[in-house]
Amino acid sequence: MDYIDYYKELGVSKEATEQDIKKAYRKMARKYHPDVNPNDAAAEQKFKVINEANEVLGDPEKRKKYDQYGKDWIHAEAFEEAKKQQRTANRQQGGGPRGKYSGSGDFSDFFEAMFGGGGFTSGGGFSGGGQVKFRGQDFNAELRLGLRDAYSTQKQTLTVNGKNIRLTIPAGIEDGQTIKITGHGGPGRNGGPKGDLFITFSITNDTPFKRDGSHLYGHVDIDLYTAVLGGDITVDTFNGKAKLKVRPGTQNGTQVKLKGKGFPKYKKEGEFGDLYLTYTVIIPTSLSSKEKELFQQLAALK
Amino acid sequence: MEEFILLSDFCTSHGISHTFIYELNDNGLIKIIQRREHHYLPVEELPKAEKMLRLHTDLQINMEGVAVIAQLLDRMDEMQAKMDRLQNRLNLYE
Repeated sequence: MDYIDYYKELGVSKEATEQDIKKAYRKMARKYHPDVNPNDAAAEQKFKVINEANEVLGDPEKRKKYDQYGKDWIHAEAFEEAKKQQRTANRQQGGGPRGKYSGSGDFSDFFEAMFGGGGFTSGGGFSGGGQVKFRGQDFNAELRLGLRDAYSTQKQTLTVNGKNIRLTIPAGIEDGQTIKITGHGGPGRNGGPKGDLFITFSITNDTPFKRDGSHLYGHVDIDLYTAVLGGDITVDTFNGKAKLKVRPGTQNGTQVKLKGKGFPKYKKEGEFGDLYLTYTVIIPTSLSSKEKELFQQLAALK
Repeated sequence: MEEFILLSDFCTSHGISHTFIYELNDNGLIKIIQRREHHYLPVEELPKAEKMLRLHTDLQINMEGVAVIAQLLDRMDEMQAKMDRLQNRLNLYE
């Protein structure tokens, strides 16, 4: 647990007036509000801290206590005393919250040690990521999946906040794609509906293939003789093998398309993209004297 | 789950008057449904409505400002999606 310099967080001096603090807080809040910084965990964290800073510095009682005990919060006596005084202050105050931002989360350990868990005068408190007034809070989760798993439709059971959720992940899901599970977020209030659960997929690829949507890309080595004379080869596709005819005179870097051998198309059952294979012609290196002689004869023919 | 929320339930719960929601509707930012003498908010409009309400109450942004921010956030979403797609394509060359 670290000491938090609320003045520094708000970018004001220790001598700042109430007006200065209010102004600084508003400026910071506009910048870091979660609704204008979607999916930005750092901004959300900063927003929590500046809310806390405003809660403390914007309240003359709390500010006084903070100035007095803040740095010495670790001394039990001091903050026990501070807590006791705070409870009294809370009862006396009973007023509205100072900066009732709805996007704020819970408080830091430092804040709780100084002012206790019920430190926020808003009473209702803040609940991680959104003060619930009607519709429940949305939850976010990340799910890691291998590219091989993403190839076929998966049924998985997730445990979110102690509840099991059965989930069907359609084949062909993209890296970074988010799916919404309606009604599996936090509970609503006053008869409001539940929030939703958003699952973002992070797909790791440990296959030799590269993926672009429903198309796959890969490399195949062929020997010089097959490239020059042509021939039949067997290549690995994503889920099996395929026979290919190499045309005589195939150049290094030639790309061939295997129609329908790519990745499944998302939510289009039975439809697949294509597999593109690029040939790498392997030039023989350690030649025997006989081979070298034959190559020299070939060269002389030109 | 019910599909529509009585507007007055929503407003009471948030402690706001109906005016703000009517204005969001007039500006085409959300859709209110009227059935007989009651107004309803479709459930899928709630996240949007609550987001705009937060911008309004938390940051003291007026209706015009909220409308502009909503539009910019939509564009940000589109751009993010495009960036994700490009990032995935870029992996082909790495």
